[in-house]
Formats: sequence, C-alpha cells, structure tokens
Amino acid sequence: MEEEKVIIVENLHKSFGEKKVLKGLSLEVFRGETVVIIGRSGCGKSVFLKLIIGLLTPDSGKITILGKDTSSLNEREWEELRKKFGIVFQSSALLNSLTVAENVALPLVENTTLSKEEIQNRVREKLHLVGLKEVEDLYPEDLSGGMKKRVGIARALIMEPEIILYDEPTTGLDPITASAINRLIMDLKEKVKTTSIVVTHDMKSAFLVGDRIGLLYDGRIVEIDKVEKIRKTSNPLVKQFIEGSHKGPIPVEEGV
Amino acid sequence: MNRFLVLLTRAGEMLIFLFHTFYWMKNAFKMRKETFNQIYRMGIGSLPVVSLMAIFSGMVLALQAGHELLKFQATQALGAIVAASLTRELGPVLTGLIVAGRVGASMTAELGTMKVSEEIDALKAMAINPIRFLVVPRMISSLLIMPILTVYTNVTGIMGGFLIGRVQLNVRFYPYLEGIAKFVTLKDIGNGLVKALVFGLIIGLVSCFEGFHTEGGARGVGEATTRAVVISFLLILMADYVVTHLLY
Ligand SMILES: Nc1ncnc2c1ncn2[C@@H]1O[C@H](COP(=O)(O)OP(=O)(O)OP(=O)(O)O)[C@@H](O)[C@H]1O
Ligand SMILES: [Mg+2]
Repeated sequence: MEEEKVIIVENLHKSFGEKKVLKGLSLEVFRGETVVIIGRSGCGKSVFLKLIIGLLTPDSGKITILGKDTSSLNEREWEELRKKFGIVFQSSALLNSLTVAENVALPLVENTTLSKEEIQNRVREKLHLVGLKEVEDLYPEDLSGGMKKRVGIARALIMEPEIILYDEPTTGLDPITASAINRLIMDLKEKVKTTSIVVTHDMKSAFLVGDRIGLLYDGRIVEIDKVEKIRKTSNPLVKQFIEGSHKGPIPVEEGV
Repeated sequence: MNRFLVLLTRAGEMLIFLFHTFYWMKNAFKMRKETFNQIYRMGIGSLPVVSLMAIFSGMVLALQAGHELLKFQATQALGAIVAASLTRELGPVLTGLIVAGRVGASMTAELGTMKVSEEIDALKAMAINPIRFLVVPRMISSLLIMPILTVYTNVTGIMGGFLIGRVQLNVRFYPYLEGIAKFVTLKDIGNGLVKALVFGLIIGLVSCFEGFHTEGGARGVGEATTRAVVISFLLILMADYVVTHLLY
C-alpha cells in the first residue's frame, strides 16, 4: 500500500518585491513522519511554513494538504483546514493581553464547546508536557524567551492536531529543556502519529527527531533523505551545513 | 497617476475591511466581554480630556458671542448660540477629533504591535478570525462611545458657556436654558448624534484598518499610528461637510 501524502508542495515560488525567496520548492510529507528542514538564516524557512498554512499566498506553485488544493480554498475552508494544524511560531507569537493559561486555552475557548473545567485540565496537561507549571496566571511579558517558546508549543498542541509545524522549537532553550522538547516531538509521532515539519538550526535536534532531513538552499530543497543517509551524504552543500563549517560551497556572506 | 491608483486601492481595501467587520458583527454577543472592556477603556479614559475640551469650547463660544450680544442688548440669546453651535457642529467634531487622537491612535498602536509581532498571524493560524476577535469589539465600542461622549461634550460645553455668561454678562440660569429650549430643536440634537455615529465609524474603521496593515517593526507602528490619526481627522472633517449637506 502506498503511504498517504499529507502535504504535497510542488514548484513553489514566492518573492517579496524584487527579492526571490522561494524558487521552485518541492516537498512531500507522508503521514506520521517528521521532516526536518534545515537552511541558512534568511533562506525562507519561516516563509515556507507560513505558505503552508495560508498566512502568505504563493506567487506560483501548488500546495496540496490532506488531498485539498489550497489555492481553491475560501476563507471558511481554510479555517476548517487550519483546525487540523498546530504551528509553533519562531517568535512564539503569544497574545500579550492574555495570561499564559488564556493563551493556551484560546483555540479551545473559540473553536470548541468544552466546559471550563475540561479546558483547564487540558491546559494544565499541555503545560506539563512542555515542562511548565504554576505559570498559568502570568502574562507573556513576565516570561523568559525559552518559557514563551514552550507556552507557544503548548498552545500548538492544545487542539491535538494531526499536523504540527515547528519553527525552531529548540532555539533559545537550555540543553535540558531542548532535549525534553525533542523527546516530546518524538513522543507525539510515536503515540498519536502526528505528522510534523520541524524547521531548525539545531543539528543535534534535527538528527534526533527527524525521519528525513531536507536542506533548503537558494529557494529550493536541494537534498532530502533519510537521516542515516544524510549523515553520510556526499553532497558538499549538506556536508558543509551539518559540519557547520565556514569553508565550502556555501559562501558566508550573502547579499540581500 | 500611480499615487492615485494606490490611494484608490487602499480605499477599496478599507471598504472590504468594513464589510467584513459588519459581517462578523453577527457574533458580537460572543465578544461582549472584550467589548465592555474596550468601552470602559475608551470611554472612561477619555472623560478628563473631553471634559476640559468641552468646558473651554463652551467658554470661548460664550466669550466670542457675548461681546456682540452686549452691543445689541441681546444677551438672552447666549444660551441658544452656544447650544446650537455645540449640538450641530462643534460637539460631534471636537469630540471626534479628540477620540481619534486618543482612542484611535491607541487602537492602531495596539493592533499594529500585534501585527508586527505575528499575533494576528497566530490568531489566523488557530482558525480564529482576527476581525471578529479584535476589530468587532473595537468597532462596536467606537460606535457607542462617540454619541455618548458627544452628548456629554454638549452638556458640559453648555455649562462652560453659562459660566462665562454668568460671570461676564450677568446672564441668569433660567433665561439661559429658556433660550436653548426655544432655539435648539430635537432635529439639531438628532443630527448631531448622527454625525457622532458617522465619526465613530470612521475612527473605528481607520484605526483598526491601519493597525492591521502595519508593516515592519516599531517604526512601522509609529508610522501607522500617525497615518491613522491624520486620515481620521481628514475624513471626519470631510464627512462633517457631507452629513451637514445631506441633513439640513
Ligand atoms: N512579510 C515579508 N515582507 C518582506 N520580506 C519578507 C517577509 N517575510 C520574510 N521576508 C524576507 O524573506 C526572507 C526569508 O525570511 P524567513 O523569515 O523565511 O527566513 P528564515 O529562513 O526563517 O530565517 P531564520 O532562520 O533567521 O529564521 C528574508 O530575507 C526576509 O527578509
Ligand atoms: Mg525563520
């Protein structure tokens, strides 16, 4: 039996003014797998995630999610589709006017008819998963960057989505918390078969959580393969990236 | 020509934004808590400035009119002049300008900050319509606050006018009120409130729209806020002319 493709991206192009960010990106994500996307700062990883959930619209190319061509969706259909997604923003993007508990609860409060107690329990459970407790009544401004990130992850998990997009989930976290977040991403895959795309610079995390790793370079996925194969790759671009070397085909300086 | 097209597109976008806002007002009841919150913040917070503005406007009107009226021995008309100027024109316009500068600017700055810190994106990603969630409560409170504050401005201004009349022109309270009752009609009051409502719509729309279309960090927020205030001012003055033309 062929594996179900949850996300299919074909020949995606996106520019901002003169600046071409994505130049023909293609990618397929299968049900239950975790694809890690690595790439230089500013190469368009966050833009790619925003295109997938429709916060940005592609200039050309096709994105198919759960069998639906997203270019033909109206606003209501998009909303239905987005309920199946969780996204962890690079900047956390918590609502500053709400407490931690209200932030995490927001999707449940707005999109379900669960009771107050039920919501409260779920919020506590998700905060526990990301290693936070007794922060419910604090406001985002009272939290450290790493704590905000974890609240952002808890919020992404609250609807128990089929698909989760993580934009640098472990950046800015101490190694112990980072390891716990890696564990969490792996657990979600194993226990509830969540499909995930993880964008990261953290190579340790990439090798740990990924089933496949893809390198985004010059607006395209130039190489994507199983973790073991990527480790032994002969592609000089990928090699330079995972070794973290300033010498190689990728120049350190990059014009904008 | 190019600039004109940009302006036209912007106006079109604003109109669409307005339609979406009206559409989502069907869910207004769900947003009642946030709406009350906004009304409280906007309304109560504006009272000190509006009070000062209103008292002094009334006093200036009385002062200006008083000199002329003394010449013609017609100081009994003072109340009518002050009240008519306020209810028809100055009450809604001055209140509108103050609310645009105070409440509108803070709405734009708040929503603009949410836009550049990706909070609005986050709402969309959670399948929460940001217009319903953020704009509807602000629009409703802007629509409610403006007529209420305008009535308050009118009353306070009339008191301010009386203060000057009493001290400088020896006008008594009862004749002052009688002058108002004889001259100011219900239509004047109603028309003034229609203006207030229109200005409330302008402030809510322009402030939220500019906030939602903020680009690029703290500087962008500053620029959007300035733009929202300037556009609100101009639209209020222009709408004042149009509404006056249509109503009288
Ligand atoms: N809304 C936008 N308007 C204009 N340019 C944008 C916008 N969003 C992103 N860009 C540009 O697109 C490019 C890619 O940005 P993106 O945020 O996707 O990078 P990234 O790969 O996520 O980098 P990082 O690893 O630093 O987060 C950048 O050059 C950025 O300036
Ligand atoms: Mg990024």
